[in-house]
Amino acid sequence: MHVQVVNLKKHFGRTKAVDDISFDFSDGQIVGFVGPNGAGKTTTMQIISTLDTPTAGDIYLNNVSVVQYPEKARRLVGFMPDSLPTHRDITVDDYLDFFARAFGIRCNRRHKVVEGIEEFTNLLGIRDKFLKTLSKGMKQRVSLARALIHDPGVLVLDEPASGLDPRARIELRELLKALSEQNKAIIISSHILSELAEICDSAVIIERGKLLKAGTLDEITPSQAHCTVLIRTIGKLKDLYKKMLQTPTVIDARIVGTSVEVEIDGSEEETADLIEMLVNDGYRIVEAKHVRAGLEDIFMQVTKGELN
Amino acid sequence: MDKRTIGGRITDMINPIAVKEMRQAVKSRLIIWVLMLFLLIQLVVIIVVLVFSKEFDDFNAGPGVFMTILSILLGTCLLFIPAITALRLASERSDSNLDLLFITTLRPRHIMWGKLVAAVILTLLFFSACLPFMTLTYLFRGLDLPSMFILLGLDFLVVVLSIQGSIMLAACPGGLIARGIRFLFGLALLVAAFGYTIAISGAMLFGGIGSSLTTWNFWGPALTIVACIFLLIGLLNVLSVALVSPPSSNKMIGVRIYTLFLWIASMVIIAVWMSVIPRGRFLEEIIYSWSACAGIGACILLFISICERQEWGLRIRRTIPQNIFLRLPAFLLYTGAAGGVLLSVLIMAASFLIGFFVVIALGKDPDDEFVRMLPYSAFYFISYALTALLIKRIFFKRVTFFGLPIAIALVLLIAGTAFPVIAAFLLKKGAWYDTSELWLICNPFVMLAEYRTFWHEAMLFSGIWCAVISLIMLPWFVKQFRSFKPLKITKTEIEDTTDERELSKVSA
Repeated sequence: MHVQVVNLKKHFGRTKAVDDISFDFSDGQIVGFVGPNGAGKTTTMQIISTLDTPTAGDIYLNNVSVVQYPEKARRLVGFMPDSLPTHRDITVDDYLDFFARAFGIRCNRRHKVVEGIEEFTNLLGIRDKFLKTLSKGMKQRVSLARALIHDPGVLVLDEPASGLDPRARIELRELLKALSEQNKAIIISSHILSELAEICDSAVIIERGKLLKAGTLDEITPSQAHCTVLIRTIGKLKDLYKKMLQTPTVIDARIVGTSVEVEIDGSEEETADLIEMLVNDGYRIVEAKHVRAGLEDIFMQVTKGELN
Repeated sequence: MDKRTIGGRITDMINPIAVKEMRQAVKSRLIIWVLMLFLLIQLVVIIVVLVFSKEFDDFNAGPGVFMTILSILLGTCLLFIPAITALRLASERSDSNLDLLFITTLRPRHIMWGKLVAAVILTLLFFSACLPFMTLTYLFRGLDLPSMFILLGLDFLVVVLSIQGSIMLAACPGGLIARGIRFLFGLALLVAAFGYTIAISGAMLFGGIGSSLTTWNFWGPALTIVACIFLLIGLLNVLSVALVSPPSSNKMIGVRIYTLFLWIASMVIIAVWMSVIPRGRFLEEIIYSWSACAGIGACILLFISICERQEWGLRIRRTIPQNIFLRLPAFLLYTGAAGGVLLSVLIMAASFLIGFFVVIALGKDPDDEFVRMLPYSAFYFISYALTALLIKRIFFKRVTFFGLPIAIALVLLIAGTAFPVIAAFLLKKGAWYDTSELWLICNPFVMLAEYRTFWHEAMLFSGIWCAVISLIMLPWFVKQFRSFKPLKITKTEIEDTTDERELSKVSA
């Protein structure tokens, strides 16, 4: 499944909620959709899900236009909104069965599909419980199961981790990874950037409806003339610290726990030279880790964090 | 084939919303408790009658007990079922639950029909739970079976109408306060409907409908009422579908097609009545009433239309017919302000002209009041509506609030009716009796009054105002029709254009 967002615009009166953004992603990718509040994330996601139409531009799901052929597009996309299901007097199983019916899945296949989804999302144990009695994490899983019921190629998740406890977040993360392995194209918006960084391989950053950055995490990381390396040795921590401060290629160094974080003037070549020098000097290096800029750092660098 | 497969195949054919709602209903503790209580009260009533009623000994207890049980049945079905259906829908509407249905293969009309069907099945459950007790009342004497069934049938239709009305009220968007007001309004309507239905049912039963069952005097009004109830249920249904439809959809097409159907159906009903009742004054009055009612309906459509969109989204444009001859009716029926205004005016004009010429065809001269009231009152309302639309277009172009044109029209109406009179009152130093009728010239209801000396001025004023505002708005109508064009994008073009486009690649 290939998703193309092409020159998408959505205006509400004078407000440009989405202002000419274009990006694309494919199956197997988990894309983090990042932006401050009011940046246009939910609007874009609603357009992908055919819940809204753009003022201009279009979104193509395997060349199927969501504007021109919403009926076809709906079969290709699964949407999980930021709100949780609140239906009264309905069990998890009935809820999923209902959505399977709504997607036109027929009797025998429907039972298998619902059971399969319940098994995948770990809902089999609570299938006879009423939705109202479920915890937020369980409801989130039900919501994900609902979005998956018609086996869509694209999954659009709007703030799926908001309000979840750490355990529920981990469970959700594992489910998303499993879905990615099943070759689903997944786009997730979230405010919890550390969470996104752990599961996303790509990111789209928007602000005030405009696209700021789009690409893999490596691609969108701003290029720097220096890099940071975390070095852990057996013993000699203070010696290592002093040594680093005296080394000409090192800009700065500081002790972080049992390691020394070193800022090197240069890139991988200089890092390799430094480690070689330390080994030659008799330091017993256990770990040397390249510290990359996280999604939070990238986000703070490319956005001003302003609201529309 | 196992039972589960047969059952599954049968339920596959039923609207998924109806299946879901029924499952919710049978799992709802509230509904189960109400049903139990309902049965218990009926049982108590029957026992009390059997033990204590003197009428029972006189073999005439039937009608009284039947009405008591009917009151319990209608109390439950007219108050509880519509309320619970509406509350459930309103609760789903306030969350994003309803939105989620729009990304399935279900259409808004399926959703609304599903809700209605589920509530009707629940009503049937209560009616069937009541039938054993109703049958028992037959044994108490004083009742005939046809009367019982006809009354139950009519009351059932009233319940269905109430349910559909509640669904429509619940489908309206709005915040908590608006929903609260609507709930109270709906509850008041349901209580009134309960009162009237009981009163009419009692009157019919004790009036002895059994003896008139073979006459037109019974079946004529009864069938007309049944037809009107069905037409009203349909109207409320299409309105509720329009209310829950996504903003990007062709919301009004169903309402407009149904309005036309309703208009034609009402003509058919009038034609049937004309063929069966003797010619006379009464016949003309029926025609005038029909013209007036159709005009009022078109007027409501006119004011809804001025609030509609003035440009069509891509999703609607892809369904606009390529053929120019089909595009004209599509322009009138598709959602959009200009088409709606034109359709309303056409219905108003046609209703008046049909009424006028039918009366002439009957060999009578059309009534002066009819000729005066209908077209000129229509001129006033058209003028107010178009002026409001003009003001909205000039001063509030960017404001997206749906009801703004109606709000402007209301302000204009209040200003037009109240301010001149207040000014006259102040100028004449409080002498109401000395105030000239001309100060009422902006009041659209002036044609209904008995100000015979003033009619000509009012006709002239409304005619000129309507002509001037129509001329001012004419370029807008033309522009609207010209922009009502279909999209011309084929799949090949989509593929070509996307290849050429420069995309920000997320992929590595």
